[in-house]
Amino acid sequence: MYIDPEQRQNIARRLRSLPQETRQPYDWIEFRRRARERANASSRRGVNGKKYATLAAALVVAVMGVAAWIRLTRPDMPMSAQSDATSGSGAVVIGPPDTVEARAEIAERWLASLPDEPIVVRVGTRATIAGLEDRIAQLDDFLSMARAEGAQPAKLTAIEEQRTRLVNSLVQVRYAETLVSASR
Amino acid sequence: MTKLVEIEIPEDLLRRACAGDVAAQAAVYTATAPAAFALIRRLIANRAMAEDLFQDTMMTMFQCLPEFRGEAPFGAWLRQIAVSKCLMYLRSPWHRARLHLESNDDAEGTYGSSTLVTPAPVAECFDVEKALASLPPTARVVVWLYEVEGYTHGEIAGFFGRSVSFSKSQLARAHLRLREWFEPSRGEETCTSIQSNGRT
Amino acid sequence: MLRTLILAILLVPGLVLAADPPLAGDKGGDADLEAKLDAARERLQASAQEVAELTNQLNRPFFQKFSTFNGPGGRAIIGVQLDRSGGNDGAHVLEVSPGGPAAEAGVRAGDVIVAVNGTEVKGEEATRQVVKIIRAAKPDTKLSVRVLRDGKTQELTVTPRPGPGIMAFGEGVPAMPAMPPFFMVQGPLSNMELATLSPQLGKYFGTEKGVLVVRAPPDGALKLEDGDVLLAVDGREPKSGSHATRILGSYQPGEKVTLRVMRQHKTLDLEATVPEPSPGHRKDIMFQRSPPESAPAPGEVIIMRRTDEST
Repeated sequence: MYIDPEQRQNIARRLRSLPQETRQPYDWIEFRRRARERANASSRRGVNGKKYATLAAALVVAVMGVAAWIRLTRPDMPMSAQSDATSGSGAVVIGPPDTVEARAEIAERWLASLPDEPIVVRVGTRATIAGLEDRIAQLDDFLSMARAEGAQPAKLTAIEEQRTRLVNSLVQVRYAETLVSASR
Repeated sequence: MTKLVEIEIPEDLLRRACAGDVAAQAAVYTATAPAAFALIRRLIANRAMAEDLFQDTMMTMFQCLPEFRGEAPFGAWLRQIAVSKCLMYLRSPWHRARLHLESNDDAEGTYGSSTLVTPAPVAECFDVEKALASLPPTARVVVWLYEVEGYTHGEIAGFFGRSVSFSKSQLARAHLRLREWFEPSRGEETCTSIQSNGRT
Repeated sequence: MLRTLILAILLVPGLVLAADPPLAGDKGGDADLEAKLDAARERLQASAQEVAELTNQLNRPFFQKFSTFNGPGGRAIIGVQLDRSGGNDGAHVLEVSPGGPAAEAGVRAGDVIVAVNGTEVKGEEATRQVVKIIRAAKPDTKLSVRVLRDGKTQELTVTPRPGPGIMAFGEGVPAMPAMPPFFMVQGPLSNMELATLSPQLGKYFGTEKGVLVVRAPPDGALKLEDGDVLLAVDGREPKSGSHATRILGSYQPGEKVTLRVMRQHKTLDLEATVPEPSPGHRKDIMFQRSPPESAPAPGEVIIMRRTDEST
């Protein structure tokens, strides 16, 4: 692909001669209005974020069932005792987790209980999973660094929430992947 | 007509804008908006998206204003923000796909009045605008950043997360296609001189 | 067909490691998986912007430290969340990133890191010391980590991985984490299917190591065929389908790559080019809008779409 240097310079000159300014799309007042709108949308998202994390974490329990949850949290308990627990006659009080943290913990334990990958993997699926895992790891490393530097915990909550949402996405994808694999 | 990269803002005005003086903020906005938007429009063909990215850019400018060190002209700093916003967008397939802009971008790449930036096109400028708009998005961005904004291949490669040879081949592609629009030797007249002549 | 045969061998009962069986009525299936993948990538995209904004709002020193990365690949990741408050006996592990290098090494939440590469970490500075090591970690340079768990110590080997990279654009502009490579999730490679060779299967294919290509990419991409065993990619030996995916994902479309494969019991070196995700390969379902809003079924997750502020 040879292009004559003179032609090149000529073209470059023409491009540089184009106007470098144009009418602004809107004025300062409108800019302020849009900025306010965005801030409102952001804070709405912030409020919903926590709700989302709770709901998404609740998915794990809902999908897997309370029995599976008990199995995960009390693996040493014999099956009969587990069913006693659900019927409420057991000595130990067990109920669905009622905090975001508890539910997130379940999600992670469930992930840890899975084999690393299904027997047969689809590359596109695994690339997304790798993306999620790497992003979560990046955030975890960042949180470690931030905490070591003395960052205020309140400031890190939003990032922790990001992490929770990503873990939930990962749970959903891996669960769906497991189902597809099991149905072959 | 000032290029974005050359725009200087008096230190005093910046200080007042940082301090929350609304009039000062408005002045900074008004001084930089035309050039900032013009650059973004060169890089992003879709008008709605360009406005979105312009809003992003100007908001980031205000958010980060306290960090501006004054080592380079203000416009150069703002240009960096604008370019990075545009490239973040162009590099993100999810964004583009979700807004169905990949196909639209190419369609708008061929001549459409919404892609023209010049308010009152004169024949010569019209040609160049049309030629530029006809390029595929990546090639257009590379040729603009290299030939007009003066970025190096290394810098452009970094923006795209690709190699220097990627930048060079995109530039070559752009030049090849642009050459089809122009003949090798024309007059030295620039758009501005033609425009002012045409106004009489 | 070879693929059917391979699947039949792989999925013989006894070889299948199924997770907890799904609840009755939970049909799953390919469409559901695709929808979940699509949603996951939306989440990654939204979180990239949100993380960029969040890290920018933190004090400048953090932002600077976070955004100084080693080279284009980004900082190496370890994937461990350390707790600042803890005893003086070492660095307390609060969380371990699922599927991350620390998780693969066997580190668990609740562990206390007491030594790294032979150097003890103790006292108030323990967490800081470990963080320093995390920051300096280089991909594939193994770290030996001693952890205290249930009163006993264990030696674990952590292999840092290249991070997904950060798109940093200079002063004053928040750095944004990069997305998974587009050409891997879309395009000819995305539908390739791989399986880790077990010793049993290995006998059948003539090699004990490597990753089996159960379904090759279409149109001869990467020159692979069904039944090939992928032994090495430019010398790097994949240990699993996931590992092979990561290795391939580290390339750029258009880059040349040498694949060593075992094909019909013969070793071959294939010189191939990483394919571009051309529009023709795009699966339209990936770009469809989310399903129409309806009341979520019981147990169904509500996927938060990032509301585009000014549309």
